[in-house]
Amino acid sequence: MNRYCVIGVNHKFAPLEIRERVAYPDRRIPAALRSMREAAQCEEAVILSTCNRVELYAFTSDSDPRERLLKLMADDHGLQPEFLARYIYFHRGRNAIEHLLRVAGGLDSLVLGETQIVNQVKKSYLLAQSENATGKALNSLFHRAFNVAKRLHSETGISSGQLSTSSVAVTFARRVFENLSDKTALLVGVGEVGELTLNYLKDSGIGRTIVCSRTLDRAREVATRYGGDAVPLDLIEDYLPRADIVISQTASERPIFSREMFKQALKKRGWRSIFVLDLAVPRDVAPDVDELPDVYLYNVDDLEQVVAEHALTRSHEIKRCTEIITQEVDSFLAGFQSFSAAPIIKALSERAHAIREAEVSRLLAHFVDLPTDQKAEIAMFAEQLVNKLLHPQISAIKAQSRREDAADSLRLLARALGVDEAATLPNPEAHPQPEKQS
Amino acid sequence: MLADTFHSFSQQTMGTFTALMLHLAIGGFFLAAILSLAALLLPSRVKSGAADITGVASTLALALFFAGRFAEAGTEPLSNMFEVVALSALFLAVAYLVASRLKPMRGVSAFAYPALAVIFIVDYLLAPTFVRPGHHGPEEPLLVAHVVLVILSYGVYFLAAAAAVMYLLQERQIKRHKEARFMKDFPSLESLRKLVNTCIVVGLPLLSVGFILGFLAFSREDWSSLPANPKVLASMVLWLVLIGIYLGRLTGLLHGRRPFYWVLVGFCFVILSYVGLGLMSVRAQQATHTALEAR
Repeated sequence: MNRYCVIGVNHKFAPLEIRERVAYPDRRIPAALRSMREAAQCEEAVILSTCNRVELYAFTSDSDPRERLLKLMADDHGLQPEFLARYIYFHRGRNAIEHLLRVAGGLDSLVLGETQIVNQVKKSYLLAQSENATGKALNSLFHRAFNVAKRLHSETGISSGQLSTSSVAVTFARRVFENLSDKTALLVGVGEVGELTLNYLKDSGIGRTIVCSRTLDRAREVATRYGGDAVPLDLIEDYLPRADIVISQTASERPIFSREMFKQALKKRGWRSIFVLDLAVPRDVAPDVDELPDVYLYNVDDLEQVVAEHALTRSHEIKRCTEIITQEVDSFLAGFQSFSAAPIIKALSERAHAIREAEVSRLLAHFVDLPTDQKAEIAMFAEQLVNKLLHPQISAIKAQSRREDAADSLRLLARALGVDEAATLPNPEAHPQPEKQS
Repeated sequence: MLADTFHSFSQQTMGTFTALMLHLAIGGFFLAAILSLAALLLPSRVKSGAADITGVASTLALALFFAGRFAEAGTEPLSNMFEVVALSALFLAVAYLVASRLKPMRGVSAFAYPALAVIFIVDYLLAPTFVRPGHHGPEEPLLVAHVVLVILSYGVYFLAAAAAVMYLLQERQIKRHKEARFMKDFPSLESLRKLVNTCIVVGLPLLSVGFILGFLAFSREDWSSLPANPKVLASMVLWLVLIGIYLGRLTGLLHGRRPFYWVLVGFCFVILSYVGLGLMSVRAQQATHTALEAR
């Protein structure tokens, strides 16, 4: 069980600037998974990279995987491990399992109980699976995580109300604008959350959308999806006065919107309000823009504050979710451990009975004239003797397998008995589904 | 004592049915005001629909009161200031109900019904001056129209001031990136801005025409007594403030929170002219009314 581990950064421990630096774009994930398996000696690996977290899940026999994974993460992004160590967290064993269940259930999200994260976890898992980076251990854990997420959302009220960062942003926009059908949304830079926010706005009936990106082709691609117009980033100043809602999520290292740009835009649009959502880190919009009248600027940290207030009002639901997660972790561990002891018990039993059969055959060879019923009695005696001798040992193995530190001793036994270590891992299909349990 | 005076006033002036309708309407508007405020502050416990139903019933009772007054024999309807103010309240209630039906806006009822309740409170408080012996109120149609229009414009400005307060509170919360619990039901900034603008656009002509009719109701010789009347002065300042806001918005000179602060400044003059100065300088009021009655 201690072979499960997770290392990562999230919105709670690392500012956006750090999260952005250690993020894995999809195209880099296959190579990173290979590095995890080769350089960091992970038998199985999954990388989860979203705007709020970057996490490396591993199943490894390494006794100290933290240092290897930290080094790998730092090397992948050109950072010093000592520097990165200030922002990371590392969980192992039960804590790692519980962490994934909390993440998939949206309990660790910026917007408590959001459902968007479970899809991101699924996407990461499928990507790892397609790269053959997952096996029985992570397969069973991730399947359990998806089921737990489903259970949390259906059995508790954790996902009621505001569901995601994007929906919170749209709720705020609605406090400024009553009717979105005559409004224009300007998406600057194409990012996952930004696009999702645009999607929410589209669902809320936004009138017109303009997509602006450094690469016009990418802007066109997104604009076509939302029935909008695409413009190059160079023309942003001309299009800003037309925008009622600005969503910015570029990878620029300096602000691309200054106070003066917004002041001029406001003058041109007759001081009609502008709602600005800065989802980028480092920020795309100069902070002093918020001082301008009729401009309402929100960034990711502002959303976090709202989310924290929202979380307080749902402490009862959090308690219920925590209970469910504890129950699910216990159930997962029980299934995992009892199944992992079975091949060892089977091997031990097979070996003892093979010896019994050989010895009985050798003995009976000396008593060829013995009646058949007496031969059968001798064979039965030998079988009972072996079973009685095995019984305390099997009980001890079963008891040991229920302990938290069972993995190492089971592995030793498996080696001693010549059992394939992989066979001691749980089979996802062998686990009862949470819905059936509940 | 005030209740006794009002009771004797209603007994002297109207029949049993009309008096009952009047009392039902006044009580109903007070209840609607309480319910609508409760719905704003405790949205999970009180639904704003209860205030709207009470408001509709009260408006109906007030309409029946006037129907009864015009149908019954005896004292001429609208021959006293109380009824003229009550008629203004009826117009205001109908205007609010029609507007809320055409374009529903969250939270506005919490200001509209208290506005009506305040009009009736002032009307109730001033009832003794309306029924004092020898005082007959504004019999002239011109003066009735003047009072109705001015009070209607005051009602509209009350709504504008309420919307301005809501705007300033809501805007402050949005700027601070916070979400207050009872403000969740507030309309959006866009709606509140539109409401304030509409109130100014509607209220300004009402007040202007009301002023003109008021001046016409007095003869040229009586005009000299008007500057001494603080109520008239406060109303003139209010008119100038509103013209300023209107032009400021039109030219873009007033933007951000500023026009809403000015709406509140203007509303201070509404209070001064409608309640404060009217009560404080009874002598000046009496001089104006005496001049009118002498005519």
